[in-house]
Amino acid sequence: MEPDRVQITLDLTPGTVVAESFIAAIDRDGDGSLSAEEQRAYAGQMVGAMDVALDGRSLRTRMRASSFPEAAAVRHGEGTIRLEIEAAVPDASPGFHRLVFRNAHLAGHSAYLANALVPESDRVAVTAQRRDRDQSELAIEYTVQGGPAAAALPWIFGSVAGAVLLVRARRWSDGRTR
Amino acid sequence: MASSSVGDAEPLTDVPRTYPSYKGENHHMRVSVGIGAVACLGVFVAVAASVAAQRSPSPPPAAPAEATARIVASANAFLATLEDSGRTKVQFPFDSPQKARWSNFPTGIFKREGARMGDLTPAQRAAAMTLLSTAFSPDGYRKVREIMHGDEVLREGSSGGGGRVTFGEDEYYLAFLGVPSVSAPWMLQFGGHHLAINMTLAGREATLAPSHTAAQPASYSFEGRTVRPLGDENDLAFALMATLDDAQRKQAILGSTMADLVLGPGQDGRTIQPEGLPASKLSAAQQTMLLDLVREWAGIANDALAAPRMEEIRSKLPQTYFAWSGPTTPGSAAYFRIQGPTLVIEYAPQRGVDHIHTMYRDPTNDYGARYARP
Repeated sequence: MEPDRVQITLDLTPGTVVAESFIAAIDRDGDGSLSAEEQRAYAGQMVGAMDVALDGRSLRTRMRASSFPEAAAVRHGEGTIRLEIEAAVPDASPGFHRLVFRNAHLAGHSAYLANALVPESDRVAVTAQRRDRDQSELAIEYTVQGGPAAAALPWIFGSVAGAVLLVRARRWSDGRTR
Repeated sequence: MASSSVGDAEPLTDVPRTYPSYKGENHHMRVSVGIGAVACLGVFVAVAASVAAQRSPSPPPAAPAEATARIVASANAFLATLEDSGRTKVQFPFDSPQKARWSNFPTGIFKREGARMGDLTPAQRAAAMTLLSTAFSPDGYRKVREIMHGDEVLREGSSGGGGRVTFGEDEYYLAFLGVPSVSAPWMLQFGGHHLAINMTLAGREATLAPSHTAAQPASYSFEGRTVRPLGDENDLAFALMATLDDAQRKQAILGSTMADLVLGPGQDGRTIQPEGLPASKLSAAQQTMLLDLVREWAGIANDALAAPRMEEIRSKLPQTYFAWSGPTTPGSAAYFRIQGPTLVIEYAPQRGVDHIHTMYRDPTNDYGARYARP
């Protein structure tokens, strides 16, 4: 992990009931495959629906990497889109900080899981995680102990495991497949 | 290999709590204990104690090295029943990507590798099940059989998932990663729908992490009796919750909905920040109940190999947390998590009480990461 960055892993797993409409939303030219351009466009939508703020100030995010499953895997309910996102932290000063993550992607149709990962540095200590009811918002409170600013935040934030569309997927899975 | 019908090699002998299996072991059966109707703290404690007391029918455990030797002998006995092509299908290099290829999904959605139970002859299947009964404790073996039989119940009641999804006891696969050895690391992998046991052995040591157990239906009838493959997990957790005072509950209960496992299939290598009630704030009796709950997963392994693992978990109790999401009334669908430095357990109902997913991990030793490589 970079010492002065927040890193976010965003997983999105469509359920089989919504798989076709989900694929159609990505596959804009309707050729049955998800081209690199179509993947980039959809990843951009996902990132655009996300907001990360540190101590009340929005952070600029950047997508580092992404992986898309084959359309067939999505149809089977085992396809996960994974985005690796990072944001530079302008103020990594010692003391208390509060990072807020909001995910509005496919709001109302999704089930969210959002968790902080254990910091790699023992100078960073997560003191609390506060989520809203559906976990579309997660606030992480943490402290940074003194030291060089550049090395003050070598930690991982993330795993926003968005089993997005899971609510609808569950209807199918309750029909016995998951 | 040839097809065989379900249960050719070994009928599921699910009968009352203590029963002789086909191998002559003493197993106990999961039976509904009617805990949902009880709201009295004292009764919950009594039920928990009763469940724990019934959980030690086994003879004194052998030494870990001896247990591993017996598992290796059983593995080799199974391999000896196979032809060359069958052995090729079953064996993978120890560091093969096959290690992480497991899933909660059934056949038709997820493709497994290894020996498919339904493709084995009765003799081969019997040897496979003997291996499992050697590698697992009596309770662990029973749990695995009950999960498999639950999938058979699902098959019998299923109209299929569009024709490609297949359920049933035939749809479980056995594979080895590495060569069965009394000293070098190797893995026994057994799984199918709602089951993934990844048991890495290395001489005197063994780990089940990561393993996935699940059940749908979570309760079914077999020969006139109620079978609950993950019933003890549920009952022990609710019993523990019932003993928590208001302050403990406030710390244990997470305020958000947990829709699924956080560290389920595909989430290898992640360590989430612990949350909930520290075990250090539990009384001695509550800590014992927590360990009894943990044993439902760690104790799937052969008793001799599970004992040191339980001791490790016990030694780290001060750094272990218990978290809960959902109602606390027995019979409700509630998520819980137990997390310590070398342990993550999750129990996640899937929108109801009749479909449960669970996960067992060791952030420091998934797939035997701590063991020296061959």
